[in-house]
Amino acid sequence: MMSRLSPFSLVIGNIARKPFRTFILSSLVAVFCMAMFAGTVIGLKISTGTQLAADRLGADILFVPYGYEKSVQSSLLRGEPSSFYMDRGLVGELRGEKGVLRVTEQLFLATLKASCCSYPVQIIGFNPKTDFVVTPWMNQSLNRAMNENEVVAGCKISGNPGETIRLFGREFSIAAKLDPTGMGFDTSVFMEVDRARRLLLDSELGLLLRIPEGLDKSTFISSVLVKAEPGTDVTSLVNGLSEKYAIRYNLDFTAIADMISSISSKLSVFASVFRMFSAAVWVLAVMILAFVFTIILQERKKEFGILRIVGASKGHVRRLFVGEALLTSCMGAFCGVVLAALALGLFHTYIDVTLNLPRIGIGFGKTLLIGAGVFVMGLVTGPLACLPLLRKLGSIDSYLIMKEGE
Amino acid sequence: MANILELQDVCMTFGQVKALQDINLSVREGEWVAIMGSSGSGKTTMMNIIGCMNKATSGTVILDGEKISRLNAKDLTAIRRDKIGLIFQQFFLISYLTAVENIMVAQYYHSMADEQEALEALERVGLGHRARHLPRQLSGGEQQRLCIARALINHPKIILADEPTGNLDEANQNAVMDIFHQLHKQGSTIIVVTHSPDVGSHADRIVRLEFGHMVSDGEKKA
Repeated sequence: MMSRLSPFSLVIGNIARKPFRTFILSSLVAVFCMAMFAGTVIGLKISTGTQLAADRLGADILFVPYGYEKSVQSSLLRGEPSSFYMDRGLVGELRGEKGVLRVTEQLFLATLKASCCSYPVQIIGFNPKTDFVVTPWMNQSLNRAMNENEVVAGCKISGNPGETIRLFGREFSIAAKLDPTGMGFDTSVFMEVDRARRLLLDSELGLLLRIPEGLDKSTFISSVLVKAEPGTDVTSLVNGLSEKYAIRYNLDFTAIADMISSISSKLSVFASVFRMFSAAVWVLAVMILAFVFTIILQERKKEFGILRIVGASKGHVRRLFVGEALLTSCMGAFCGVVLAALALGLFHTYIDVTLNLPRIGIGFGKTLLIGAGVFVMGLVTGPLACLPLLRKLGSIDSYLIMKEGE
Repeated sequence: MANILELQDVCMTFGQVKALQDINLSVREGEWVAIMGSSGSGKTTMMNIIGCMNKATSGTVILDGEKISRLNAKDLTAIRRDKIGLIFQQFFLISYLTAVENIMVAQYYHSMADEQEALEALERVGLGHRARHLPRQLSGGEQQRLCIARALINHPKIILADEPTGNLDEANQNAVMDIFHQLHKQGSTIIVVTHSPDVGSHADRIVRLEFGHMVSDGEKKA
C-alpha cells in the first residue's frame, strides 16, 4: 500500500495498472534504442577498424596471385587462414621501379588444425631485412631478433612467452605476444619467411597446400607489399606497375587505400541500414506514441478532470502526463540499450563474422557514451510524442467533463 | 453571520443563449442552501461559476470576502482548491488509488498528504474499515461517502454538491443526508444543486431557477 503520495507514485500507479499497454509502448522505444545503439557501435567499429588496418599495414600497394585479392583482405582484416603462392622474382623487379620506396614480401601458411587453438591459425612469414609492415609494431613486444625456433604470437593465440606452440608437427617457443591490433594479425603467428617456407615444405600437411607447379620451391611467397615514395600518385603507380607485371606474374593488385576504402564503404552499408532502420523506428515510435497518447488522453479526461477539481493545476496535470510518457520511454530506452549491449557483447564474434567486420573493440568509454546518448534519445521519445497534446490537456474543462455521461 | 458568498447582477451568456440573467444571491456562513430547477434552468451554470470552474460574463462574485469574478484560471484553481469542496452525482474517484489515497490526492494538491488525517476523515463518514479498498470494491453509497470525505479533507469554506444523491438508493441517500446534517450542525456552509424536492427539503433555504432567472428565494418546502 502507498503510504506516501507524490506525482511519482501517481505515475507509477497508472503505469502499473496498464502493464500490457506500458509493455507495448516501452517495446517500441526499446526497438528503436536497440537499432540505434547497434548501428552506432557497428558503424564506429567499421570506421575505427578499417582506419586502424590501413594505418597499421603501412603499405600503399599489395600484390597477390590472381584471384586471391579477397582472400588476402579476409586474412589481413579478420585473420581467416589462407594459403596462396606466387614467384618471388617480382620483389626484385619492383625495387628498381620509379616511385617505389620499399618492397617486402610475406608468406602465408594456414594450418589445417592447430593443437594450440580451437581454430586454424594463420602463419605469416616476413622478411626482417626488408619488412616495414610487421616489424614496427612487433618491435614494441620484442626488441631482439627471433631465434631459429621462436615465433611471435598474436594476442588471441593461446600460450604465453616462454611456452611452446606446436605447428606442423614442430615445437616453437613463443618469444613475445603482440598487443591487440583488431586485425587478422591477432590470430596469426609470425616467423621469418625462410623458416616458414621450410616448415611448409618439410611438413606432410604442406603437401596438401596449393603450391602451383613450376614455382621455385625455395623462394615462393604469398604477397608483395610496396611503399611508395612520398608525393607519388599511388593510383598512377599501381596502373604503371600492373600494366608491366600483372600478366607476367598473373597478379591481382590493389592500392591499400582503395581496398580499405572499398571495404569500409561496403561495411558501412550495414551501419547505414541499421541507422536508417533506427531512424524509421524512431519516427514510427513517436507517431504511434502520439496516437496512443491521444487515445489515452481521451480515455483519462475524467481522471485529469478529477485531479483539477481536487486542486491540481494545469501544470500538475501536464507534468503527470509527461511523467508517464517519460517513465514509459525510460523503461524502453534502458531495456533497449542494455539488450543491445548484451547482444553485441555475447555475439560479437558471430556478428563480426556474419557482417565481415574487423575484430576490434571500440572501448568501454565510447560504448558507454553511445549507450548514454541513445538512452537520452529514447528517453525524449515519449515526452516528444505527447507535446502536441499538452495544450489540449491544459484546456480540459473539469466541470463539463464531470457532467459528461450524467 | 457574515456572507460567505455573494452574487451581484451575475449574467452568463453562451453566444446568443442567456444561461443566467441578473442573479443576485447571498449565502451566509453556515447556511444550507438548495438550488433547484428543471433541466436548462441554469443551475449547472450557476454551480460552475460558484465552483470557480467558469467566469460570469458580467456581474460580481464575492467568495469569502474576495472578488473572484475577474480572477485568471490559475487563481481560480487556487480558490477552488483552498475554499471549495466539490461533490458530484457520479463518484469521480481515481480508480487505481485506494480510498485513503483518493483523499490524500486532494491533500497533496492542497498542501501536504497526511495519511492519518485522511484515515480520520474516512472514519467520520463510516469508511474507516474500507480505507485500503479500491473504488470498484466499494458500493455506490460508500463511493459517495468517500467523495464527501475527500471534499471535506481540506476544510473548505463551502461544500458545493451537484445532485449528490442522484445515483443512490434510499438508504444510501439517507446516509449521505445524515452526513450533510452533521456538517451543517458543525457550521459548514452547504450549497446543494438538485432537482429532488426531497433533497431540497433538508436545506434552510431553497433558491429556484427557471430559464436563467431566479424566480424564488427562501421557500422552506418544495
